[in-house]
Amino acid sequence: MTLGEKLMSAHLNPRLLAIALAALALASPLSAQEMADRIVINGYTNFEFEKQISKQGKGDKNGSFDADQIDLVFNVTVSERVRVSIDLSWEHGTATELNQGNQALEYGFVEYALSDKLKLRFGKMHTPFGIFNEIHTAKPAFLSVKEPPSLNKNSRVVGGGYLFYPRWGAGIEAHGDAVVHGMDLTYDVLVANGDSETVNPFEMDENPSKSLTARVRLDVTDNLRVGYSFYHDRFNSPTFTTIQSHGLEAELNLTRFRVLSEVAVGSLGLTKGGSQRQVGWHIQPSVHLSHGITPYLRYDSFNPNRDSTGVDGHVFLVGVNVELAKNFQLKLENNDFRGGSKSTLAQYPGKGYNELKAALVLGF
Amino acid sequence: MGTRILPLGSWALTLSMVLLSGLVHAQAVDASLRIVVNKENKLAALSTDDLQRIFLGKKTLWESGTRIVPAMPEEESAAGGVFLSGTMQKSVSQFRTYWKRLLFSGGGTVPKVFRTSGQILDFVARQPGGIGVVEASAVDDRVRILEISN
Repeated sequence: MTLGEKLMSAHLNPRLLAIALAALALASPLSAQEMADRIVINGYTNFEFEKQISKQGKGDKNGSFDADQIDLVFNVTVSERVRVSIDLSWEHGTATELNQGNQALEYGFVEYALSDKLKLRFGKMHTPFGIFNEIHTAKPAFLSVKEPPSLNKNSRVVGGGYLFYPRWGAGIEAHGDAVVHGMDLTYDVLVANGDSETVNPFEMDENPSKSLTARVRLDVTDNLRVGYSFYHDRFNSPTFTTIQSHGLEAELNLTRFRVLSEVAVGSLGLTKGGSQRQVGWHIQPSVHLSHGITPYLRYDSFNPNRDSTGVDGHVFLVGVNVELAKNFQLKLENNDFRGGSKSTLAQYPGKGYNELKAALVLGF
Repeated sequence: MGTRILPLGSWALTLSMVLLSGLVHAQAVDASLRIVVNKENKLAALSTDDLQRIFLGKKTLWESGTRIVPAMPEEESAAGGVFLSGTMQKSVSQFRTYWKRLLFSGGGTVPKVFRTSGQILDFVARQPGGIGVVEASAVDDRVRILEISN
């Protein structure tokens, strides 16, 4: 007999039952209110369609629907100075029994606020490098179907490179907001295990050296923000020794016209000597018209080896973002991928291909 | 007659003016609105810059150490629009985009949004760290009006 059945069959004192129910009725609204004040649940979901329109290429030839993801974002105010932030993600119709899709803790950390100038976070978090890494899964937070790949997923532009930084890290982060000469400054410093080839980097470090990420952003005016990011780590690898990346970002954010741009340069130390130096950058202008209609352009460029010629790749993107309702967006765009004569895109006619992408995105 | 192209100096001047427009200080608070706080809050006044920082999630603690919990009218409402365009110097789209980026990257929680000033007063009255934007005509003695200076 289950507990519920036991309770149902119990011979309760009617007066006691009435008192208990009355107490519950009085108590519930208060605790529900407190819960609602302390625990905030948000999230987002993204449904996509992609179709390669060139005859040859490495896009989606069949045209596929993609139940890309659904994420739940929890913020729990534990006390005046302690907050927990969690993003749980289910991607591509997760069904672990069928070995399909992916479920992940995008981030989960505790934040202890000593002051607004110094908040300490510990747990798993996105590497705070550049504009897009921390929101690369949060499609409602940017205009295009996917984030710019030149910095974050450069293999989507052209092969032969490496990631400028791992997208996630387990470690301790210092975050703060301050005012410097009347301008708002935001900084992040993350010390984490870094990337790993052999062990779970969110549990173990495969070498004694910790990765270091640092970013500083300055709001020069209400509509101009600039920033600098840095990443460094050492490897315990037979092939690689170190990785170091620098990034610059800028955003001009006017009421109707906006531009954002980033550039990153990276250096991957090789055990045999020397290093592989790569560079990626993108620029995205957009015009915010009435009725939530925002056309945008983006140019992504990535060179996986600055000491070689013809290995670079580029994406020219033309798209429109339409806000159908509050926080509900339709995105339509054409991605034109082109590469150099020695790039991984050189095998295709015209050294590239076109792919249409569309998405329905909801933030809640 | 051919199209006249502005000389480089004119473009630079135009761009500078656009950028410098962001340096213009925000209007404190429109006369139709009031900034209210919980009665436990002993703060006498707040600058417009700090008010902006609160509603952008950059200032999250009162000097007492109490967590700041901001509340505001819906962005599309008349009061919400006046607050965003006047004090915050942002369009609805800019404000939402800013917060989606911060919220979904784990940076904080969006200010609580309510349909009526009465709901905001209720919220601020029960939250020791509460601060709310309400219509001036709705203010009552459940909360305290905070003076906002430029």
